[in-house]
This record gives sequence, C-alpha cells and structure tokens, in this order.
Amino acid sequence: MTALLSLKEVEKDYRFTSNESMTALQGINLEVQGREFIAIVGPSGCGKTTLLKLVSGLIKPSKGSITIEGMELQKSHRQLFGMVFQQPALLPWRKVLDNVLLPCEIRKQDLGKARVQAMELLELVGLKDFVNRKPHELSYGMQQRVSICRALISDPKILLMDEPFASLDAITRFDLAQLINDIWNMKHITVLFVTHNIQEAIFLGDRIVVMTPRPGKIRSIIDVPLTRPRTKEHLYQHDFSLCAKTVHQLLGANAL
Amino acid sequence: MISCGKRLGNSELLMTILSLGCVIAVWELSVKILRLPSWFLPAPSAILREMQNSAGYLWSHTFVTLQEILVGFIVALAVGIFLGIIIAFSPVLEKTLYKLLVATQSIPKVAIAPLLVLWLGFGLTTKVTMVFLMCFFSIMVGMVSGLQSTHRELLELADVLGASWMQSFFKIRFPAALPYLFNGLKVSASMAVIGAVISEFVNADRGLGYSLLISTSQMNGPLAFSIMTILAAIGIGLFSIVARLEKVICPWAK
Repeated sequence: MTALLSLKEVEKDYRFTSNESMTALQGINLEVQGREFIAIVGPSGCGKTTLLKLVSGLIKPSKGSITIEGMELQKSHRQLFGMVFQQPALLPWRKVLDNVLLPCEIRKQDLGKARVQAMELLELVGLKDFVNRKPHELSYGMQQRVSICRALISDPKILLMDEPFASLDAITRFDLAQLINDIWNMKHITVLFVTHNIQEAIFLGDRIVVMTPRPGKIRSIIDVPLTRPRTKEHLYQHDFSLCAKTVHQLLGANAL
Repeated sequence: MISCGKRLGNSELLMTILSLGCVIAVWELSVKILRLPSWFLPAPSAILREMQNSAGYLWSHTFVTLQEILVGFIVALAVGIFLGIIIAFSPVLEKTLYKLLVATQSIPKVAIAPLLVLWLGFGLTTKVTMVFLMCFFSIMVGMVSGLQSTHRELLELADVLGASWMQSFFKIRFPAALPYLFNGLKVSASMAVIGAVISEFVNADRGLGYSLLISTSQMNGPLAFSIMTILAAIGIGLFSIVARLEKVICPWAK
C-alpha cells in the first residue's frame, strides 16, 4: 500500500545573502499512513516548523522527494491540507463565523453549504454562542479553537499543527488536546502535530518522531503503546510513563 | 466590561473638562487682577465676545482655510495610499522612490512655501499643495509599514489556501494594514492645519492664517486669540473625526 504521505531523504538548506548556508533538515525519511496521528517532538531549532512547511508545499526541499499517495507534491495538493499555527492568526475584522469561512471564500466554494459546516464545527468546539463575536472578544484558547475550525472546514485530509498549544496555559492546553483527540476520533483525519510537550505527544500520537537539533534529523520513531480512544486515565498508566521516559532519553541533553 | 470602559471614558472626559475649566478660570482671573492689556493677553470672556461680534468675518475666513485643509488632506490620502501600496510591494521602488521621499521629507516645509508661490501662483492650489505636502508623508509611511507587517502566519495561510494576489491583498493585507494607516492619518490631521496656516502666512488675501497676521499687526488681541481658538478647534475636530472613523472601521486596533 502506498503511504498517504512519504518523505524520502529530504534535506533543506537555507542560503543567506552572505553566501553562508545552514542545513535545517537532513536525511528525513518518513512514511505516514492515512488516519495516522504523528507527533513530532524536538528541541527548538530542530527544523520541526521547516518540516511542516515542506509538507504543505510552502517551501521546496533542497534534496529528496515528498510524495502524496505516490504523486510528487504539487500545488493542487494544497487543498488537502488544513493548517493550525502557534498563534490563532485570525482576521480581527471578521466575525468568528466569517473567519472559519475564509478558506472557502478563497477557494470559491459554495458558501451556503460551507456555512452549515462551519456552524457544525463551531458547535463541536463549543463556540456555538460566539459565532457572531469578533476574535478580540474571545479568550486566547477560544481563538485557537476558531483557528482549528478554520483548518477543518472543507474537510482536509491532512491537518498540520505547528505547536498549536504552545502559548496556552496548562489547563486550556489539556482541554484543547482532548478536543483534538475527539476530532481525530470523529473525523479520522491524518495529523502532523509539532510540539515541545512530551505528555501531549504521547497522549495524542500514534507514533512520535523524535528529532535532533541542527541539522534536524530524525533520531527515532516510537510507537505509542496506548489503546484508543485515549482518555485522561491513560495519563496515569505505567506504559505512559515508560514511553515518556524513552522520549526523554532520546532527547537526551536536549530534553526540555 | 464594555460598560466599565464607558464609565472610565466618561470620567476621563469629566477630568478633561474640569482641568480645562480651571485653566480658563485662572486665565480670566489673572488678566482681571493683573489688569493685562488686551493686545498682550485678552481674557477668555473678551475672546468669546470677539467671536460673537466678528462671527461673520471669522466664518468667511474659516471657510477658506477649511476648504484648503480638506482638499489637501483628501488628495494626500489618495496619493499616500497609492504610493504606499506600490512601494510596499515593489522592492525596487522601496529602494529608490521611498528613500528619495524620505530624504526630501527632511527639507523644512516652511522653506518650500515661498517657492510654491513662485511655481503655483497665489491661488487655492498653492495652499492645497502645502497641506498635501504636510500630510501625505505620514499617510504613506503608515500604509507601507502596515502592508509590510502582515502576520507571517496569515501570509502562509493565504499561500497554503492558494489565494491569488488580489485575494490576499483585499481579504488579508489591506484590512490588516488599516490600523497603521489610521496612525498616519492621525499624525497628518494636525499637520494639515499647520500646512494651511504656513502657506497663508507666506502669501494670501484671505483665510485664518492671513487674518491672524492682520489682527496681530493691528494689535487686536481678542481677534488673534479667536482665530487661534478656531484653528485649534479645526485641528481637534479633524483628529476626532479620524479617531472616530478608526473606532468604527477597525475596532480591534489598540
């Protein structure tokens, strides 16, 4: 079976104007199956964000190839992706509902249908009563929920999340992790989830990609030995702690 | 939260009115007690009386100056936005035209005023041009910096969504730049009044700047102060309109 997403010997170099260059990523080999949840952990500056940008096609690899269902990554693949950033990055002049609809407007999709879907998504994330509010009237955690809805509208196949909870407090953070967990259970989409947080990676992921810094390489890929669906109870299991210990050891001196 | 903000706004307004009242009262009293001559410093009551007595005269000059200010401001708005947009999106223009405009901006406008008369004559065009020169720069700078500081995430999002240049401009970049544009507009609102007065000082046969010169040469203190009051009111008025528009158009801006 061809993998949904496959990276072969991917390398990314950045060239600066001073003619120096920096290798951000090197020798990345990764196969992601459909409906898989991949958590990517690693210290700051290990190229996690670069990896997501490569997958989404925002930047091109210097070497190696990225394929989607066996096909070379192209512009037309972009509608397969939904993106969530560390910042909610909402448009402050648009109501919550219209923020969620932005992708459909840009892709010139049927807005009537999209509006129904947007309402369903907002209800799913618990923001049904806030659809007509402006982003600045919402808390930061709520704004991030809106940006998750924006990423999920028009049913992406692959959800790319770049440290989406890094700016949130611990409690909101866990709430949102559970929400992502629920959404994954319901929609069975493929997720690439970049995080600094080992607990989060284990709680959410099927596999954890552990990276090393500069140049970013894959140190190891770990299977998470927890059953699905995941619940809070998993946090207190022995397997959870063992897995956390393994990830910590792999990160070594770079552990957080 | 909203009502709390409003209450705070009201008490702030009250403070402003109270402190202004105190200044005026002290002013009135000291003029009376020290028996200052009106050409030196007229009492607020005398200024008010003068404004009532010369209402017709003042209004005709106010109309002229207001016209210069508004036309100049609107032209500056259009040109500033246009130049801002093309400079923001063209690295070549940013390195050439923008640098050049920044350099010429350091020439004091007052120095150009007599030249403008030489080039454009004695009419309305000269005054409007002066107002324009005073205003357009900060509007343009606001537009450029606004368009260049769109959040990286928003641009990436537009890119991933496959947005065209027009889509990302009208749906994301331009609206996101509006708070910066309004900052420029607020600066230029007060500059506009200065521009009009300067050009009327240099050469005019009507307008508030002109009548200010006449009134001081005649040692008519109450009239001079009336004119200054009106000039201040125009400046404050223009600023408030811009500030109010900003609240309506981009309420998210801090």
